[in-house]
Amino acid sequence: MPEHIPQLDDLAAQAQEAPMLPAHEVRRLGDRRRTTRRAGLAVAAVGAVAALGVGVLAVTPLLRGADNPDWAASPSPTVSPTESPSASPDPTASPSPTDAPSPNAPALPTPPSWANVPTVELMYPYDPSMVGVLSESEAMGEPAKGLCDRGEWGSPTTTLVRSFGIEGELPTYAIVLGYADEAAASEGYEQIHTAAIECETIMTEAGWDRVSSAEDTRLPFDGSTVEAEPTRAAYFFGMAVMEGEDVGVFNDTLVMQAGERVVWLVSTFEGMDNNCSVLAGDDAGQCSFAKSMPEVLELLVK
Amino acid sequence: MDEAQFDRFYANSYSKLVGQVYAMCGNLAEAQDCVQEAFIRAWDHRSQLDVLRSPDAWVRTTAYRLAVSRWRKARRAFRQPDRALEPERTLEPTPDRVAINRALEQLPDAQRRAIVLYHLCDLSVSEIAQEVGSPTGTVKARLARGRQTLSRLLNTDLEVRHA
Repeated sequence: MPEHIPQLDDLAAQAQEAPMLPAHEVRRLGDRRRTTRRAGLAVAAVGAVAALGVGVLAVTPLLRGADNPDWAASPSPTVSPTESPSASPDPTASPSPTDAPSPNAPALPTPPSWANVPTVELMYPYDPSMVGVLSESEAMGEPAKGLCDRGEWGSPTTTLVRSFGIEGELPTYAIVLGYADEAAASEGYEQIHTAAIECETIMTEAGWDRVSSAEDTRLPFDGSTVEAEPTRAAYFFGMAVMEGEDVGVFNDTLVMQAGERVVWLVSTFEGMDNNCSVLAGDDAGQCSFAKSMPEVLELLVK
Repeated sequence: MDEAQFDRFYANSYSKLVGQVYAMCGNLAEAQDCVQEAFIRAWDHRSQLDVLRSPDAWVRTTAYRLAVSRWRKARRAFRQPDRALEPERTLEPTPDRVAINRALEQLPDAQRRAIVLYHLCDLSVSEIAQEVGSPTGTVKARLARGRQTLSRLLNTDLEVRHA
């Protein structure tokens, strides 16, 4: 039994004076919170998906009930014969020299690995001791990654998703996507970026009462520190509130591209406000993702 | 956890947890608010409490996290705490309470949390390591340094040793 410090016991004893709500009131508030949380997240997910249209609905695991879908590996509805092992060979076709690997063919980029995915120290640079890694997956999986996830991120050849937080809270995600080339990565980056830009419209259509989402163009990004082209980054703040509730859902999104890789950090949490700035030295304090951005960029290309 | 179990847990643990979180964060009103909110969240996530060995730890961790989050936001926004929400004090703080409060304020957050978990919550080093998500060696070091500082500030013969 650890020894006690009498002064510490005495200090804690002051809590005996603290008033407390009746238990039934705590349960009532807990039930209300549960209802709001579930309804809010369901609305967010359905709303985000609804905005995508029928084409995306057809492959959305939220609606088709897939257990563990691999978005990166989802088969295209228009499979070309060359991709199908069951396709009948064309007897008239002659072997093409381009079918065989050419010594002059450009080498495929090295796919990213878990070593390129941000760690808890980078996701929570102010105090990493309070959270841990919740899961790691090589597929996007079912849940929407934040308020602005429309389920579109191009055609990555590698998908690495690491979630962080504590049980019972909304998770934070670090997602690293590897693409076949820079052009494919740019397309993926643009899709994530566009979803974030259009987040306000998506969330309004989804039924949230008060919504705001904006890109902070002051983000001090310096892509010259790594040997990759192109390099770019964008930071978005989002907020959604249900009328009559005293808490809202806040969303921070950082998306960065370095060559044929994209890293996408998403933090979504329930709370009353989200005071931080992308700028170092700001009175509000620098947002975690902005603070870690240089290290996350270096890690991405390592 | 059903309603009756939760009500018993709440009645038996609320004051104790407010005291523990107060010792960690240094603001009684804030501790009370955060523990109250943590219990509301606990009922929201009651299915998790069934499988946890220590629902106290779940509520304490959640309340501490809320307190740290609020404190950071308040500090960033340069807000004054809402004194009107503090429970009415019937007694002036004793010199001992003032001294321990000041001494705890001198400790880094991680050391303060470790000291409270060990000396007030009666957790073992390995239990603390599990709750705060740090290696046991780190917890031992935090305890040793925290005791050293407290011993000096409180001018007591608090034994300074590794746990």
